[in-house]
Amino acid sequence: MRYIVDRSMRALLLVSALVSIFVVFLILVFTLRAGLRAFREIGLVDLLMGSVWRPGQEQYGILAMIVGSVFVTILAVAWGVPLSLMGAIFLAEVAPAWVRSVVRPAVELLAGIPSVVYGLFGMVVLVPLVRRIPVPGNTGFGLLSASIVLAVMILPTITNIAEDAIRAVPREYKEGSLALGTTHWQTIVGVILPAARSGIVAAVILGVGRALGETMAMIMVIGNSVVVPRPLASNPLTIVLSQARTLTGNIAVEIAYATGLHESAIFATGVVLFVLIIVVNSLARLLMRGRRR
Amino acid sequence: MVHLLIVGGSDAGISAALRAREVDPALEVTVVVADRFPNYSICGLPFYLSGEVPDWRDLAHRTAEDIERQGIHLLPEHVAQAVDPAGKSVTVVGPAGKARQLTYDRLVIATGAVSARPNIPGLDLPGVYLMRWMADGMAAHRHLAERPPQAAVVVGGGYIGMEMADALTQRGLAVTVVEYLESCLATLDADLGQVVQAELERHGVSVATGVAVEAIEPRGAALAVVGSGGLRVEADLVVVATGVQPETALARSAGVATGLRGAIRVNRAMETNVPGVYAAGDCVETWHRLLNAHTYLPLGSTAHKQGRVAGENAAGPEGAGGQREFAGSLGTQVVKVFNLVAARTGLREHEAAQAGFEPLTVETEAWDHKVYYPGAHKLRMRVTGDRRTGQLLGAQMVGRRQAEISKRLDVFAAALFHGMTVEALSDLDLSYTPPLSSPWDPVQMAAQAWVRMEVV
Repeated sequence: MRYIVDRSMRALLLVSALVSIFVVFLILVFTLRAGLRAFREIGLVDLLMGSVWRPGQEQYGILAMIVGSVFVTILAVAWGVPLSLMGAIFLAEVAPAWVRSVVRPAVELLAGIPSVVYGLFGMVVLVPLVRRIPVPGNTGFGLLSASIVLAVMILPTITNIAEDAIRAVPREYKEGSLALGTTHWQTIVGVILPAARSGIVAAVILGVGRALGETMAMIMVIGNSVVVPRPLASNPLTIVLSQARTLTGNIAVEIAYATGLHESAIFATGVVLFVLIIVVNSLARLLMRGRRR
Repeated sequence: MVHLLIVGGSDAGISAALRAREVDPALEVTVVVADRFPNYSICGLPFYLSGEVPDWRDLAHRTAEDIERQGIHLLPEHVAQAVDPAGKSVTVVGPAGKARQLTYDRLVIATGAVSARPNIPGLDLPGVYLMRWMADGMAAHRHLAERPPQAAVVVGGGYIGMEMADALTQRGLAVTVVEYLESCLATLDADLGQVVQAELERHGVSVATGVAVEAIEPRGAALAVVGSGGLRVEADLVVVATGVQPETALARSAGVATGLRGAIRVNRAMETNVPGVYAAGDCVETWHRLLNAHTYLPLGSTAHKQGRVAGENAAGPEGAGGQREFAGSLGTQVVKVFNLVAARTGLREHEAAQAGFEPLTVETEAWDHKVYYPGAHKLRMRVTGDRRTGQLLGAQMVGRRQAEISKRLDVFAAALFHGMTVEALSDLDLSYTPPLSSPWDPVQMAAQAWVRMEVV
């Protein structure tokens, strides 16, 4: 009897584990099939490189959305990574235990806030603030607001993984460095961070993956105009005030009323997003494995 | 996500789309445009035909690219044929004749108006133009360029007829205006209409009033316009501008109720009787701020405001519609005829009497600026107010183009909007410098003349 239970539990556990692989596989096959018509009728190059998305006129180029997604992600990384890394160094190296016991759960709580709440915060607090920047055509909705929201959203991912990576650096490295007479900060910069480098990079890349996939909060603050971002005024920095649309947002806002080729083109958007995320996640895994060695 | 579908890409439709996107940037907005000209200023067609605006592209309020940058999808050259309010979809037919369904969560109908087709034989003859859409203007422009005509007849002496007579005269044509009523520009009192008519005649336009056009006949390569009282005018080009009627076929297919002159019934939130379906512009009844009732007043400025209200409410949360209300029209209009400008706002004497007021109308003449400074001209003003309450009810004004007639009339329009008394106009702190005005602006002189008459 015990043998049977043991065996069947093993099988159950295996099946449970396989379910997630199976579901990923199903989703991939399904989106690919639904998007196939778009790939065939529009062509991969026109789809990826076309900057005109006019569903009414059967013009489906997702370049504007690709640029939108990548641009907002780069900005979010630019704001979020320094903040997360410094937070991680603080938690791993500087903070006394009781401080850490307060800060760490708080950071983890950030990860648990629903993205629609982030979106709401962006709409009600950030957008009106950004709107105060006196540039003609600045609505407050756009890349800047969206990237700040996104930076906060990727903060817990990067902080947690980077902190683990820093903690994983063998004690001996640190002790050896300090024994040579360096200060704590010199040790952090000269020894610990280089040793934890691959883990930190993996943390950043996971953050990027999270940023690329974010949907609801982006719809609420980025403005959703299907345009390749461009500066609003002669100052090139005003490009961050431009509205944009992300790949995820494009799927969410249009699928409700899309039919025919339009619907297929939206699934094709999904495939592109899928591929992008797979590449980013594999990169992160590769680097994490490298760390373990 | 919510999909807002707008049928009509002129003033009301684009205003609705822009406002909806402003209110809710997460909203998907698609505008179905029947022709290739989204957001064109069709009010500018006379000035394109006159040659004052050399390129028709300049008539665009904004370019298609500007609109798309606001996150609005445009669907040009698509005609919406039917609405299925139960399935929330609209059948549209594209340039290739292919029909398809567009689904919506909210619908704004902004189909505008079409030129009224008076019951005259010959309306479809080559060389006869009903002036309404970009295509009409472009066809007439091609005619003017390719077969330069010598003579033109304008049927209808309303403001479009006036502007067309002005435009075609500037193009060097001999123009005859034929009006059914006893005076041109019936939107003004008859004797002020006479002033406009005199301006037309001074520039060589012949005007026949009180004449009903009976037929337009082909006459060799040209045309002849035949009317009552033995009128017979030959012309190579005829413009028919005898008013408009609301275009409501699509709305009716959705079960939307219509009223005055067949225009769509809407409440002040621009909602029709069908839930989720809004309407705005020349296709709807217009709330009149002074009459507290609906009228039919198809004006571009009104269409913009109604479209904005419809867009804002359609973008609002489900069931919460109607937060924004259309404030109402005053029927404010202005027209430029050669060197003369004629304008009106509010009610005229007989309209006010019909609405139950006790109107008094007083006419005043005044210099547009201090007469010692060169270039002063007289302008004529007519103020209507209520004897019982002293409330301002309306104003009419005619004067030289340089006399800032339209902005002066707008002072009356703003006062009307806020329900001011005629007397209170004298309290307004208006700008003054001798080359442009007098210490009492003409508007205030007219108000004071009215107050003097009221006391008597």
